[in-house]
Amino acid sequence: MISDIVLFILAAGVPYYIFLEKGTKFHGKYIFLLSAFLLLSAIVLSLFVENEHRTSLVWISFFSALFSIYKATKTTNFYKLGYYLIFVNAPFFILFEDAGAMYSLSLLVSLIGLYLIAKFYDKNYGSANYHNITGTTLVRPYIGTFLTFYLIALALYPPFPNSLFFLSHIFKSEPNLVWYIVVTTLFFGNFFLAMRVMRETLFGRPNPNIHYVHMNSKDKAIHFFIIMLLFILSGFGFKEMLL
Amino acid sequence: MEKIILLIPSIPIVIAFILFFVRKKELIPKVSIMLSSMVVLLGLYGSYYVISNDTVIVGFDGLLIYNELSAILVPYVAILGLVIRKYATKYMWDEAGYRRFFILLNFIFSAIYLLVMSNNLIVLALAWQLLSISLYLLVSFNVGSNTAVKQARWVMFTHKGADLVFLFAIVLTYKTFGSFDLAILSEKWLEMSKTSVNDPMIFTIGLLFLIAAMMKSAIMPFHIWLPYTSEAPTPVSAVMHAGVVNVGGILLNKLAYLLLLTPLVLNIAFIVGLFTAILASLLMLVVSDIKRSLGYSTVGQMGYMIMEVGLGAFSLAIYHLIVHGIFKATLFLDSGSLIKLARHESNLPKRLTYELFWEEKIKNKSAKIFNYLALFTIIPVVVFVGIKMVLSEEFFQFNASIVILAFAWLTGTQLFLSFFKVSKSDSLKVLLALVSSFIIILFTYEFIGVTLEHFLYGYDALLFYQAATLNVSFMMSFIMLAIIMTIGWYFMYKQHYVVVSKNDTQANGLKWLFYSFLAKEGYFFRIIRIFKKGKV
Amino acid sequence: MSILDKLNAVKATIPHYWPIGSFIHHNPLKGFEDLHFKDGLNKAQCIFGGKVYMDSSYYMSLYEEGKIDSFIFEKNIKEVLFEKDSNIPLEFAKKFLMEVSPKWASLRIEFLSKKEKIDDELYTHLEKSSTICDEKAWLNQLIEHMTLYEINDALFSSDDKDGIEKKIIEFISRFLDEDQTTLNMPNRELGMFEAFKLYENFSYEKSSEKFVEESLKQLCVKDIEAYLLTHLLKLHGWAGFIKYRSEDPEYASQEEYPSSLVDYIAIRLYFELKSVKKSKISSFEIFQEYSTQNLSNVILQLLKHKNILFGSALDALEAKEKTNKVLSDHIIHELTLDALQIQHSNDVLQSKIPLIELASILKKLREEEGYIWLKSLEDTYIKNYVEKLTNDESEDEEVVSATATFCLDVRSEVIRKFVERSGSYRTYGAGGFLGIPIAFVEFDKAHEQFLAPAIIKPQNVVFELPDESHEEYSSKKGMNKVTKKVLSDLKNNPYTPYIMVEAIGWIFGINLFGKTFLAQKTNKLLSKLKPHKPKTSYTLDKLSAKEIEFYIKKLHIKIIHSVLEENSKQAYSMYEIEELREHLVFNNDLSIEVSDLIIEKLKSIHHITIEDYEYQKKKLQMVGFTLDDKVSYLYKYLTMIGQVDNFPDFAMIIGHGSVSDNNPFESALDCGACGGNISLPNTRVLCMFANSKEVREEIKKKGIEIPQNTKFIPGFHTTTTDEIKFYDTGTLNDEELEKLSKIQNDFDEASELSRQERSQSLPFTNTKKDMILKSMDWSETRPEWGLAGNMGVFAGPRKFTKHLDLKNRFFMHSYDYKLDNDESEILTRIFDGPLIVGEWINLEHYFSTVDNHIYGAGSKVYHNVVSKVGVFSGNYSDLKIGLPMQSVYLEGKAYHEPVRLLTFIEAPLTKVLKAVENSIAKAFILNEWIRPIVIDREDKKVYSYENGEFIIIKEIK
Repeated sequence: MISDIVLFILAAGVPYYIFLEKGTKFHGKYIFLLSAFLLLSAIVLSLFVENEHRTSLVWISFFSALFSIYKATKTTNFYKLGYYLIFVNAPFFILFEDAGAMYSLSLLVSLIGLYLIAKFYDKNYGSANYHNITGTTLVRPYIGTFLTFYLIALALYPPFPNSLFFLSHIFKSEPNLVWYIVVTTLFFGNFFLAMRVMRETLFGRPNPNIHYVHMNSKDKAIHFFIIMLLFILSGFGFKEMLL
Repeated sequence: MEKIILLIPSIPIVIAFILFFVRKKELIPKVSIMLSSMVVLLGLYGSYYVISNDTVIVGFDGLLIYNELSAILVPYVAILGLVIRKYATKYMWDEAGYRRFFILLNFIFSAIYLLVMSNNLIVLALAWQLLSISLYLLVSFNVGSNTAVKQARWVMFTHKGADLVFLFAIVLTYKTFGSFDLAILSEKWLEMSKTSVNDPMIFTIGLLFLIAAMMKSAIMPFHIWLPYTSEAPTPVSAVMHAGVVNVGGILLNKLAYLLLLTPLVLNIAFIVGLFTAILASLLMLVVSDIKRSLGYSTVGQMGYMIMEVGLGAFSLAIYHLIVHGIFKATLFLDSGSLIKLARHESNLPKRLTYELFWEEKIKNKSAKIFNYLALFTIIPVVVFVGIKMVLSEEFFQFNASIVILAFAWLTGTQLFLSFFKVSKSDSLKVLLALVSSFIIILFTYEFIGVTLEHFLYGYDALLFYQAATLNVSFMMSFIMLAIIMTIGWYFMYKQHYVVVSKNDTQANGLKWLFYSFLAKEGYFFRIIRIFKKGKV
Repeated sequence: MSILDKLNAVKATIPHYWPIGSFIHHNPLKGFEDLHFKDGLNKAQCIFGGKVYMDSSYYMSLYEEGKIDSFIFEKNIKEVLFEKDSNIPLEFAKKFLMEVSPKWASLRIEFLSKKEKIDDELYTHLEKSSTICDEKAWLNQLIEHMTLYEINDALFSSDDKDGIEKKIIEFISRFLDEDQTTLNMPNRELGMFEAFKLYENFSYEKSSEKFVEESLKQLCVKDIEAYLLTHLLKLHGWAGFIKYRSEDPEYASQEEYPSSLVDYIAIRLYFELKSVKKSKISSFEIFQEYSTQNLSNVILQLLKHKNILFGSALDALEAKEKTNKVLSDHIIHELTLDALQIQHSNDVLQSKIPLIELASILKKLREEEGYIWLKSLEDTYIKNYVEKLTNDESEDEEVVSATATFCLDVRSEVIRKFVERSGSYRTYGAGGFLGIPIAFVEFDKAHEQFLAPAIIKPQNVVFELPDESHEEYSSKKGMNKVTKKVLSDLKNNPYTPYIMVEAIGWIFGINLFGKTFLAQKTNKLLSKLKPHKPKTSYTLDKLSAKEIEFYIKKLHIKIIHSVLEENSKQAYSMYEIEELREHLVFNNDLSIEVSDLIIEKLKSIHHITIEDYEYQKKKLQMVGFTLDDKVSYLYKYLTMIGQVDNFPDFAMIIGHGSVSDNNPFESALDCGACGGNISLPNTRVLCMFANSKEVREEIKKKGIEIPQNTKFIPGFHTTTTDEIKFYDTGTLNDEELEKLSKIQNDFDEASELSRQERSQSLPFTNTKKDMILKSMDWSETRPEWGLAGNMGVFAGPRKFTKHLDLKNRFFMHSYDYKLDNDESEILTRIFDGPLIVGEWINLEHYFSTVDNHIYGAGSKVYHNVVSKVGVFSGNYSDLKIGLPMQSVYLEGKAYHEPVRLLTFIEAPLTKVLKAVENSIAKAFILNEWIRPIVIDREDKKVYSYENGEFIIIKEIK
């Protein structure tokens, strides 16, 4: 029970992140890094302690996820979106038990990609806010492609590992009412958040007021590496699902 | 050796990967056409193998299968893919995302192949979702246009919904029947159908699958995504209308034996299909732009296809989706010709004409169309019934067939009426030619339909008809037929014989109500808005 | 001033739109032609937004290619700067234009990585000179050209605009529909606003004008004129079409279903009112109040809406920080960047000018750079071509075997060159309508095509009549018609398309696979099914009053007969039909019994009325030409091109047209001087005149003697494939035919060479077959380059251009000033017809290239034919005006070089001045919407028109 709560707190730190956000002018970037680190700890921890979901805990995490979805729809900042997505997916971590760790790992990897993009925006456009940076696909196809990959992964589409672990879990679990509600909400929630970003920054007419910056080859290599990592995870996912 | 055919779904992915690294722009279409012809060849070889050996190819631990259904659909989709790529070579040349286009195209084809060839519900689910995302990226290909991206949202949401419903259906199937393997499941279902089952769970599963199919095939009320994809590049529209929307029909065919267990689902399919067919084609008539109007036309055709499924005519649905695909792809790819037609066939009132200066004898034509009427309403029905009798007498054991009969009769009558309205000649020769060509066309059509049926399902086809029977008495169905025919007659009569009533400029309220209802797309958007407001 | 007056005052701003079936190239900024080119463009930029010149990087690349002369460039910089009485060093300005301006945007961003210091003085200067600091003024600037519903959208992040525009388009596209939909809108004859009221079930008694007035009052609009313009600009394509329709009462669809701009505005305002009523800000008065209370927030929201707000400000807004602070941060940010941009520019320029001064200099240079570049490009071309045109000339061959007149269209330049080289031929150029405006009724058609420039309304009707029996044609035609009709009846029906598709859908596979993989073979196969037009001749003589009476009666009786046959069971005799006609037309008594329904039908649908009788009479009186007409048209034509003596055996007159498949813009490729139609009928009419004995005799009296053995032969040039075909050769004897076939061979050779040259600039053309394929390929978005690349006009004798390679970029009109009188009548005619057409074509291309989004039509890939009047993009959008992307761009790069029409005229200056004075084109010539250059060989001087006067640019040796 205690371990459950610890895991839950690590994976879904909503209350105090909201608090951090509100109280001090804590930069979104650090909240993101902190929560990513905590999630990672939770994943590691879950390998050692038994992660067995308790309905009440699922409900709590579900409501916190709902709140995070609401917050995430209000933001156009990549950093913020990043850590909201971690909180949004916390119920899966709890609900999916062992499979949850793998799912969260894939989530984390795709979020790291997103984080790097955010950093790139922050450095070149003065903020990780993407509302202005429209039409990336047309103007900067590389960034566009990488971002598309991450967003598709986050939106739970195959062949990315997030979707595969998600599917393999739902095919093998015992559905009940909570299960249906959580799965449905998060299935749409993740998708909706990812697609919203796609619509706002990847697509649209290039903004004439913005000077678009190219990605250097080092950054490209890093992103390529992350995507490879995702595909390796996909391999595990396929194995788990089909065999 | 023949197992190599099962690699078909992976070929487009490989092509996509290769295209990433093709440097020269001219080579992009060449490479993709060349490599895609490989799929065509493999598909044709597979079909040959399946037909000649009368067997199916199964592989990858039973995950993929190349059976009769694939033998028809895979070559069809592959050839269609070649047409699209060839067309896009020049058509898309000036677009900013030329490479992106050819890469994305491969994903959607891969998804369709995988879907057709899957023998496992999990594989099916993966294909199902891959299709959603690649369709979204293609529909919003014109990323620079806000409206394109905005309207693509309908595609996105509807398909995501379809994904979820589909996943739940699979989960329930697994819980109920304990397997993901379609071959095992089909056998089990066929076995079960021999005893009567009345399990609400099976009904739920069937219904979920039906809803998923309806969403992807744009059946009302999930149709709106399809007409609103006009801003996709024209070749994408062709793929969409000839390939993507058909997956609903394909899915239901794959699950045919499941539906055997739940006649009620079939009846629902019949009703929504019929409703969609009629309403969508009415909507089509009032749309003023060509692409959206074709979109509504497809919605109607899909409705008809689902209706056929609802009648148990599963193989006819497959036939319908192939022929309709060819038909609609042509219309889409050629949609720019409309202006040429308009230029050459001016519709202005013929008030001044060269014929004034041309000696022409005015012929006195005494015979009136009305006199033929009695004859021509009987001919189609006689011909159709006759052909049906010759080819498949079992058809008449089921009163659901009456519906198809009614449609055929209406079409035949319409054909004869418009022929005699336009044609000035009414010699016996012309008449005979018309009737005989009508007979030949119907005969071929029926012949293909029946052959297909035997090819796909053998004698199981009969079971579907039995299951799909509407639970109404013979008398009731006759009354229904009479009603359909009367309504059809009324429309036809109005169309052909009452051109203008009186010189009234008075607006007819009822007419306007009807017109605005159609022009505003059945108040679809208003309903959506009310729904949205209600939520807020 | 009434609403109507106010509307009329602003409507000229909206570009005209002609239905796409007869695409007419025109200047989208026609309403600005009373201003100088530069001012007109500036004003248009304020109104439409977007660009009016190319980017400076584009001009830079031309400069590097050597297309812009550096000396001329410097001269133009000096001139423009001098005009603005500035003492900017030339080198400095040049460096700015060439090195700083192309990367202007990137200079603004770089600070982010290196924190740089900002010059305080510069900052304060920028702060003072910017509107940003006066928040009220800034707000007004931001909401310029915004409707109230857009303001609402911006302030409350809602999305009403899209829905409103959609509803408007849904209605007007159905109202304006020209038979594309099957179920038409009922009661359209009542007018647009009346139909709209029924459509929306909106009860309102008064007129649309009244409604507009009331609505504007309800919205508390202050500047009504500006607000009307704002509304018109929202969908300027549709508004332009409604404007065109309502101004042309003879437009058939307008006649039947009247529409007007006031109606259109009323419809727009109806939706606007309906939308804003529900929102917080329902009138401009409330907005005024609201914006004074929350000024900074309003500005921020507007900036966000327009995507101008910085990311950091967006973050701050999200974090719900105080709006005052966010705005002031934003302003600081903005000004800092502006300052940095100037500092960075200074780093590149290395000038010693104080930064404050530099700021204002740069601003001025930015404003002027487009014009400087454009003018330098033009001047370089002018210089080069003046050089070429005056230094060398080739001799006209005295004895030629044939002459050929081509349309002045730029596409005829190359083929003329090769025709001349293929034998002893002399060629001429003239406007494709040859100075004969005709209303042409094609064989088997019922409508008139106006074969003349869009500004001229033809007064002579010509009917095409079959010369030979056309039974095969009729039977094939009949068959096709029946098939088409039956198919479309089956397709457009709520219950029949399904079985139809199952039964015959696969037949469409012939098109799908055939057209894609075997286009040429399929085309051949399908053309066998198509009826081939029989040989025809034209009605060229006037009809007598008796004939007219006879024909009208014949027509009426025919119609009545067919109506009776279809609708009545009773059989009527000829006598009875005649009586019925008398009753309908002259209101005579009727002794026989005919049902009211049929009579009503005859009157309202088939127009058998006294009005129709008068109409037919008027039309039939217009049929044909009097002898005087014929002679004068021929005389005008011959003197215009300067062919008055030395007639050879054959004088070819060649019209042109284009062939393409699946191309809504096909008529844009046809003859511009014939209003977007093929110009063959005009050439045939003229040849028939010239071959007639009577006419030759008459014209002899005027001093032009055409020898008896001279034959005028009409021809047709297919511009897509460059093939030339001759018509009306039936009257020639064997010997003549033999000669003609030799000529045909030479012309074929010329076609081949011309194709080869043209194929260089087109993609996917390696062989001759590829070029032919372009005319029948349904996946082809660019069957030919058409008029793209057009740059200049040359009016003068051919001998001065014969030796030049003009690369299909010149309109070439033959003109011999020695034949012109003191009033410059001929030159005036050239100005009034061909020059205007040329200017329209040129500026259509200019603006479609500089901003394809606003003045062009976007990519063809997303086009969707609507209402048979045009295309829009996607599901619903503005009606696309102008040319598609593919017509002026190749793979994202501008293929057409946008320059004004360089008009070279070979004539003494006095004659040109006279012609300018007399011409209706005077306004745009004097306002420099074209660039006139006069080559005066008598005075041995070359003049160019610049800054309001003709200046000497060269002395001829």
